[in-house]
Amino acid sequence: MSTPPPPSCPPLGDLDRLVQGALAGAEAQAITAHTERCAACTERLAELRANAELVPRLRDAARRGAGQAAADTPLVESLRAVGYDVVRELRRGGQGIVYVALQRSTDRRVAVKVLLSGHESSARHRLRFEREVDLSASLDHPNIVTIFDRGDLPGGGRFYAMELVDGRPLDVCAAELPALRDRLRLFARLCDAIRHAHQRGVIHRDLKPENVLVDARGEPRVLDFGLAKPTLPGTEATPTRSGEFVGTLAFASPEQVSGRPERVDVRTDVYALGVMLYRVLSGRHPHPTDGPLLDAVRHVTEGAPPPPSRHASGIDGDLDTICLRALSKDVERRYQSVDALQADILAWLSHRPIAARSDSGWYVLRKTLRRHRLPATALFVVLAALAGAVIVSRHSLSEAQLEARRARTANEFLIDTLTAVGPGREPVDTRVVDLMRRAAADVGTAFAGDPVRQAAIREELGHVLWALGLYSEGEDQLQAAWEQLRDHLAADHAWTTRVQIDLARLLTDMGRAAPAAELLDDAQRHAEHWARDDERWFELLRCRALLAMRRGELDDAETLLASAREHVDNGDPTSSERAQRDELLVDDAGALAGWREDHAAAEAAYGKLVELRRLHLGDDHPHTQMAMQRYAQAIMQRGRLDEAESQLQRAVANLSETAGEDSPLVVFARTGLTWIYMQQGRLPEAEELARELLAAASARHGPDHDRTIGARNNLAVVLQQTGAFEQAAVLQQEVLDARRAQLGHESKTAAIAALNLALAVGRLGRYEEAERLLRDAIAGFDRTLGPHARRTLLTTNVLGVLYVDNERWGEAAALYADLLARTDAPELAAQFERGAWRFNHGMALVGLGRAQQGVELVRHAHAELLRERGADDSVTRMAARVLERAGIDARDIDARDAAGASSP
Amino acid sequence: MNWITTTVLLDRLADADDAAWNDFLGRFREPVVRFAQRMGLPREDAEDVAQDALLGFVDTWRRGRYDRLRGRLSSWLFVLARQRVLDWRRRAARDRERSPPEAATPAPLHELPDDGAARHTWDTSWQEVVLESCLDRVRGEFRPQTMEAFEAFVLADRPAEDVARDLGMTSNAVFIAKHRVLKRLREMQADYESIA
Repeated sequence: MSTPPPPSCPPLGDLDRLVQGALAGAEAQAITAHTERCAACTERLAELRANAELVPRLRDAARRGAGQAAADTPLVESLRAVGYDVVRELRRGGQGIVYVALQRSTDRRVAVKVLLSGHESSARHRLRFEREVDLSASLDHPNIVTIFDRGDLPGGGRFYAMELVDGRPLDVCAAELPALRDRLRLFARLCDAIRHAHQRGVIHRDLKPENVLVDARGEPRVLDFGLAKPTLPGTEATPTRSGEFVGTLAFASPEQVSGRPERVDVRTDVYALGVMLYRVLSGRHPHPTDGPLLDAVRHVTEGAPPPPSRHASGIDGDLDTICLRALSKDVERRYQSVDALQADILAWLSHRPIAARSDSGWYVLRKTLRRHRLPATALFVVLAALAGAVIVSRHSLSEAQLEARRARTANEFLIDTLTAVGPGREPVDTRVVDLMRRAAADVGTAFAGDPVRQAAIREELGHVLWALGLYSEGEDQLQAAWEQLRDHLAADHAWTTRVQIDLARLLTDMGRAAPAAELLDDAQRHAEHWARDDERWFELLRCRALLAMRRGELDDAETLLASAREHVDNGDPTSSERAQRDELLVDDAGALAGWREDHAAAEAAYGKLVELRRLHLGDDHPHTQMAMQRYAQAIMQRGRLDEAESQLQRAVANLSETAGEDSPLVVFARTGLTWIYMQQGRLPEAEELARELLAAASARHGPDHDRTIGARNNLAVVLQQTGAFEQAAVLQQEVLDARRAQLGHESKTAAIAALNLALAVGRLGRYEEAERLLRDAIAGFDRTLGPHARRTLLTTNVLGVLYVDNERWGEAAALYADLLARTDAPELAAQFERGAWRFNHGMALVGLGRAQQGVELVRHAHAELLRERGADDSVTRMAARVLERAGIDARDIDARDAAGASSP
Repeated sequence: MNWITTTVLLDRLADADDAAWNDFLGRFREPVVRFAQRMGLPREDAEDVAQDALLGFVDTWRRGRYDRLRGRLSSWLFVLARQRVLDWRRRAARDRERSPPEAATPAPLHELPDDGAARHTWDTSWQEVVLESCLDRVRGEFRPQTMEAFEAFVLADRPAEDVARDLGMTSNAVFIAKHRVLKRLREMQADYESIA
């Protein structure tokens, strides 16, 4: 509602008269002078002008309506014949008209609803009308409108009379109650009424503010059971068929909009109450309903509403939770009764803890972790929010119990571990890592007698460790979880398979394609028993696609993703995971495009991802912002550095305002900018930004924090570019020390730091140190990613280059022989430029005095280099010069080779 | 007109269903009839044209050729209605050639006005019907007194002071009632436009 104007503002009536030109002279001048200074009045004037434009058309419409009312005269006459004098029309719907009428026998005003007779009403409408009267009459509650009378009209048609509520819609009244607690009390009384209906076996199915009027005493009154459905056994089924939607979209539940009347039950009313609660709390609708209809449907079935606290102050986390729980798309995760919803509202009103708490927090966490690698701090925040989480059932009861049990166990155990930190309880990343490790070490003994519980915890731990980048430790946990489930549950149990596929995905991430493929083959052996719509198909197909990407089988990956897409499209559109899966697939499409180095396609995919996340999560959601930044990265790859720069600049500007300068996303965007500046050769700017980011991170998080270390690393990389190798080396050393302390020598992050430091000290000529670091890095990558991972192989090459530069021919020869042998498999060979490696191998052999063998290799390498890099490349030219010096004209040889190949 | 359920209604049309057809007809017939009348057709023929156009739409829908993402329903209906009006004119012109002048049909134009003008006529008809249904709907959302003040002051164009005296309110309250109802009507109109 609009706030009353300040004392100096003219009354609305005067402003309106001004707009109508009905004011003159000094009065008009005074008001005009005021409005020119007063923003509120200026706004009001604009509204009044818009109103004025509508009025002539409205009068026409009303005249046409009056013409129609004249056509209704016979109806009015027939109502008079049964004892009701029509006063005026109250509203008109598809099936009937509601009049305000005077009941002559009692001399009171009532509302009379008339079912139109004749061709306009069908048998189904009549049936519904009768049902409405029957069901309404069966209810007796002070908050439900009472039915007085029913009967036939002389001219055909039916009517019923009910009490006339002099009231206004719930949301309008709620908006006028300033105190949140008053609004909630009102809402709780509404719950009373609906609970009463449910107890009598009546589901309303069309709850919305217009059907809940608040009367003069402030009591909510529920009316219009026109779409209600009986639930009790013995009652006739409603005249609703599959595929048909009844209700009002803005308040309809996912099961209603997807046309599944068989799924409609009391929880459908719970959902509608959830929408109303959302409105009552925030004054807004949980989903945008002003776009095209199809979008609105999609929002209802797929979109995740932002917590109501986003829109209004005074709403705490518990109210958010209550509201979102009532709005859950998955009926099993909703409040299972109005009772439960009301109980939580009353609990909140009396400052007691609510039962819902964070809706299945652990479940959500796990999902989130699977979708995105969260930084450890974010993870900790989520973990800390989990205390007391209640997991709600899914699927069948036994499955649900199992799920609930395992989730709860895992949760409690981890929370215990996490909260055992001590009095400081400062969430520090390294502690999370330590805690996870401690939990991993303890889980065996803590649940020695209960392998299934143990598996549950190991599964969660595995995901957390994986998310933290501790791949091999994650692998250990998932492997153990899978084995325990396989041995104590069943090899083809849905849960077992899920863990198995997750493990395969982790191995894929590590570049260990062969064992990953084996696991997937094994999982698929049971697949013939899976239903077509079994969720495991999606997981399996997607994992196969990711594996294919890793192996460079990009066409296969594409086909697999298409199959996974088909699976999602054929699946249940109301499933709460649908939207997530859609996003995952788009994300994967972006990744695939990246592998193909098809940056245009990557741009398209990430553009779509941005669109989806905007739709589902809103602009401000971190996942949306992350998608935007990936999009920026894609266009950066396309060489549109300026565009990428402006995108990131915009992100920085927007996010700094909404999320704050220090938000991780702002930092991420600015880091991207640093990279762009570096690419553009704007090194002073890059350096300045990198220094600023480091200073900010250091001030905010302290010198040893993950983000500070990351910022330090970035500055070091920039300095390396500017040629300040010594400074770069000092910083990189700090980074390496911190990474090692944080995650251990064997982690991938530490290996990356070692590699970067090696590159810096290498440029300073500190070869011994560089060599040692490279060996560490290679060992780290080897352990975490595997010997065939791209990074492992490329780092090995760096060490090889170092050997060659230092003329350590024996070591170089051995290294390249091994490197070439390791990448001999065609799918790996295609991913690397092996010509340069072979050239180095040949040079090493020449250096060792095995000239003939060496030159032969260089010749071979030259052919590869021509193919891979072209004739103008410096290494190709170097190879050609070597061959010339060896007395061989490279072109002659190639020509001879070609001739030789074509002769018998 | 009932709000929101347009898409669902269309889905129901996929199986021939009398009730769905009646609903559909009830909702979208009126704008087509008005359009056709304004294009010069007599009421009876306008009703036939509307029936034809809607049948044509249902056919399009059942064949899956109507893509909700690409065009608004009202635009599709316009295209169909315009085509039917054009057909009717051609027939009428032929009939005129064959029959003596005094028996000619009352079509005032030989050619359809340009698309812009036809579109404008369509939009007018459509918006009228939308506004009428908004007016129907808004009645349920306000206190009876507010509505009575609105109807007397705005629709019946009675002086604010008279309305205030009759209803026992201040004349500024009458203006406030006017403002609130009109504001709500504008919102409803925007809502409706966005869903059909």
